[in-house]
Amino acid sequence: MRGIRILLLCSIAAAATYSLAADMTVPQRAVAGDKISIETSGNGEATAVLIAPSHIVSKPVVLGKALEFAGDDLADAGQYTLLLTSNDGEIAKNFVVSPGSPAHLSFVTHPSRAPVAQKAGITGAVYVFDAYNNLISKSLIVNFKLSGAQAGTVERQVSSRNGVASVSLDSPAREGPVKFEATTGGVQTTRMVRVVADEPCTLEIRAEPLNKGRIRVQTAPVKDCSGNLVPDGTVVTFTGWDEQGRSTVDVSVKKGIAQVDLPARGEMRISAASGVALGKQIRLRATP
Amino acid sequence: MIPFRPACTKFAMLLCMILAGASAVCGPSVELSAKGAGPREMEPTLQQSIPRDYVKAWQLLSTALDAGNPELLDQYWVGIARDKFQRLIRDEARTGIEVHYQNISHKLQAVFYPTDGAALLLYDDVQLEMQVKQSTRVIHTEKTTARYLVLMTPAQDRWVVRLLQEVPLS
Repeated sequence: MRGIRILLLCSIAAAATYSLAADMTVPQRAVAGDKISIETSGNGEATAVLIAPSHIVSKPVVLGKALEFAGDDLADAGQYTLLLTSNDGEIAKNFVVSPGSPAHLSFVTHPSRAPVAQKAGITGAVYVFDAYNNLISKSLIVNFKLSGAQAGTVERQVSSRNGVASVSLDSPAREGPVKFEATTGGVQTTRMVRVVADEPCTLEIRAEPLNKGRIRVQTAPVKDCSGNLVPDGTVVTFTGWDEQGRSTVDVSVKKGIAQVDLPARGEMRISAASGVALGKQIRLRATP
Repeated sequence: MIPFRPACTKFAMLLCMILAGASAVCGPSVELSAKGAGPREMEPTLQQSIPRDYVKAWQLLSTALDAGNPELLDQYWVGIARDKFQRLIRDEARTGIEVHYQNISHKLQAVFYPTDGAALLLYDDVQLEMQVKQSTRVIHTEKTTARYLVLMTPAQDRWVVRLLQEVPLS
């Protein structure tokens, strides 16, 4: 009986002095922006230090109670190290935080002005980010859509790889502004691309004599091979040959037409060129 | 694969091997593989400048963390990456906890180089040592192999890091 009493007293004394070693249970995985609760064990007070890829959170903790982290504490995707420092020493545990769902897209398009009817003339690359600016590296379906009033609509579906989805689309045959949209996970971003006329395809010229030994040369509306008027500022080079020799003038297209007055004496030959287009040569006699 | 070892002659490399903290003397070793990057092919000059600029970015990050000076990041870090590491430096000052990274080696694999050449996406398998200090006392040390997804973009005379994000190794 006395032996049992001693044993009981020893057990009570041991229980009184025994303290659980500090420990904690971290989640294997979490998603950026999640609130998490980490169970701790042990007795007494400790300090928890959360080392995130690009921020640090430090807070006191009562061992045996849950340790709470807010959504902002888990803002970065990547590996986290949680340190628990108490009188028992230090323990460290790692866990991984993955990016959340798509929240915004970084949509890079090229070029901002694309010539008409170019094969793979418009490219776009989409980088998909969550609400905390983490690039979502897992594969996502991204829908690209190119549309304009006269250009019709072209759509492509591309799977992102390594956080990026890219596409190359033919530019429409008609000039004008087109909307270039990218959509994934309910998030959409739009860029505007201006489709502009290409180089002149053909040149037609006509000329008429003016007074005082001059003639006026004018092009027909200058168009690209898709039938669009070339932009203002496109240079047309007029060349004339007469008794005095050769004269050359560069003229900018205005509202689709280039026009110039040239000095002329007697029989005259005139031609025009712009880019790879060459106008048919014409002849006329200037009035004296 | 282009190995890059900044400012290391053979003699200096030997010295590095003898001296403790070799990587601190010579900088980490860097290898870049451009295979599989596309759709545009990486120019040879770019294959040289990327490892050089990337290592400088890491060196500046380390210096900025040690000095507690976020402005140092501006030379090689922009956008999201700069904002995030500026937060880390501010947190260090606020909490009194310092994180030191010693990067030992980088294996870069280019995965996306768009036709307009306006960005470069890479993976970096990096070996590094992390040391956590509180009031100059080391409270934690960890050697680790990590994989980062890196987005670099061209600036005036260099390529800068726009995104550096750890991703699972597998």
